[in-house]
Order: sequence, then structure tokens, then C-alpha cells
Amino acid sequence: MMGKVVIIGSGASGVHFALSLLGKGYEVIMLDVGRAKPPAANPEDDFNGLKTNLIDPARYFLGSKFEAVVHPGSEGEYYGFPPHKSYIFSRPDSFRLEASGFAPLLSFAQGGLAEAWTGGVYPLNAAELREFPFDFDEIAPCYDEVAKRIGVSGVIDDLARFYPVHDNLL
Amino acid sequence: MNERRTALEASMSEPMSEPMRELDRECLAFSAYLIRQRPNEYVLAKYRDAHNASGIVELYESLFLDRLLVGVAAAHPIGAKLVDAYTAIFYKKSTVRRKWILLLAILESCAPTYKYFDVPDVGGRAWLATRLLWQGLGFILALTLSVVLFMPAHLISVVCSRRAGRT
Repeated sequence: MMGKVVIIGSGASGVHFALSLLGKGYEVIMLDVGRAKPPAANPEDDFNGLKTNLIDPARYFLGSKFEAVVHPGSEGEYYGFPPHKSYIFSRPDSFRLEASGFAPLLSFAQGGLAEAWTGGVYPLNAAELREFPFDFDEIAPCYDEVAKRIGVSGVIDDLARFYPVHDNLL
Repeated sequence: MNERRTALEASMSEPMSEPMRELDRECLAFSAYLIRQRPNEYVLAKYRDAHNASGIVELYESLFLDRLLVGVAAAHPIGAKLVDAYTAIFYKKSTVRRKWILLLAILESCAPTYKYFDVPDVGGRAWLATRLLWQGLGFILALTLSVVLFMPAHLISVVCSRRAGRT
């Protein structure tokens, strides 16, 4: 038996790390606290099914005060966030964060930012990794492993020169 | 769906004030311009709710120019085309654009109108180039006309606002 590892946080990075460790024979204890995901509105419905079957779909997608509608000149994100996802970015009143030169994105939800997964999977390229102690070729197999696990779809198209393409795309 | 219908029927059975009826007429005109479809009762009710809840009414009532643009856009599709061209370049934060965005969000969030947004464009590159050329020329024409029509009112509105700000 290998050693015991405690992983704090059950977000996307945490679960992949845990899976890799389990594969190598480690015992893993995963700890997470945070705001729980509310029950799904209509679990049997897909995205368009919600629009068809919910009693008040506009309230679900846009909010009771239409707060998810982003108007010209609005500050913040350039796309609206559905109100039923507000638990992901709500913070305790006592929480304070200061940052200079970057905009940290964090969550107090159980599962972390993986709860707000929007489907974009962009690996860092060689230029972005220039200041890191490893280069893209070294971590490319790790990207491929993650792509195999979660099923990243895509094609080799004109964006491939900006975003490295995995060998294991669906 | 039945519950949605029941709730709507309840809201529709309430006596409607003139401003609410005005919003319904506006919603019908804007929906015809934006997606070439008639909105159902649910969309009409949500459009009214949005004006009560989002604070857009205060914006609407604050400026002469905004009232003018909303009125012209709701009067006729050609008026809406002119207002669209003008506000896209010179007045992006106008009330009429806020109303359009609000209505588009409502239309996209519910059946059956969400289907309009999901339908892919058909045709090849030649058709796409033709459409772009046609729409581009139409936009230039609309923008030219709209500048003649709305720029004087816009300038007067800006001057009046600045004078009011000084006093």
C-alpha cells in the first residue's frame, strides 16, 4: 500500500489529481465544504426541454428581476449568468480579497468552479508556458489523459494554430 | 404547461392600464421586427413584468430622445430599421436597444420562440456573400437616412441635458 494523500477541494483539478493517485495505488481522502447545489428544476428535461416545460422559463433563465440580462455598458461579465447558478459565485459577507494585476476567479461552492463549467477547454500553449519550469511537450501527455477521461470533442481546423490539439479528441 | 397557462390567464384577466397596453403594442411590434413572429401571451406578460422589475421604465421616461426612438421603432418596421442602424453606431446605450435586448432574452428563453435562435443559416458561400452585401448596403442606406432624421434631435437632447446639468 502506498501512502495516504489528503486532497482539499473536489473541483476539476482535485478529482483528476485524486484519480491519478488512486491509479498509482495511493489512498485518497478528499475534503470539501461549501455551498450546495440546489435541486435540478426538471431533472428529466434537456436544455430546450426546460424552455418548453418549465412553468416560468424566463424567471429560471433570466431571474425574477431579469438580472441575468446584460445590457450595453453593463459592468462585469459580458454574458449573463443564470440566477439558479448564483450559489457558485456568492461569497460570505466577511470574505475579503485583494488582487493586483490579475483577476482571480474563485468559488465557495462544493465542487468549485467545475460547477460553472461552460465547455471551453483550452490548453496552455508553448508561449504561455515560457516562464514555467516545464514546457508544453512535457505536459502534453497529461492534457491527453484528461481529454481521454472527460471526453473533449473538437476538430483540427483553423483555430489549431492558436490552441494546441490533443491526440485524444472525440 | 397548464399551470403556466393558468397563471397567465390570471394575469391577463386583471384590468390592464394604458401604459401596459402600450407595452403590449410595443412588444408585438418589436417581436415582429426582431424575429418576424407574433409573441404569445407568456412573452407579453414577461415583457410587462420586465418593465416593472428591471427599472427600464425610469430610463424610458427620462429622455425625450429615448421616447422618440422607442416611438418610431414601435410604429413601423422601417422605423425600427432606421432606429436600429442609428443606435447601433451613435447611441448603443439607448432605451430602445435595452428593450430589444430584454425582449430577445425573453424570446430565447421560452418555447416556441427559442427555436428561431437555434436554426442555422442555410446556403453556401455565394449565398452568404450575397446576403452580407445586401444587408451591408441596407445598413448603409438606413444609417444615412437615420442620421438625417435623428442626429438633430440627438444633438438637441445632449445640449438640453448639459444645460439642465448646469442649473
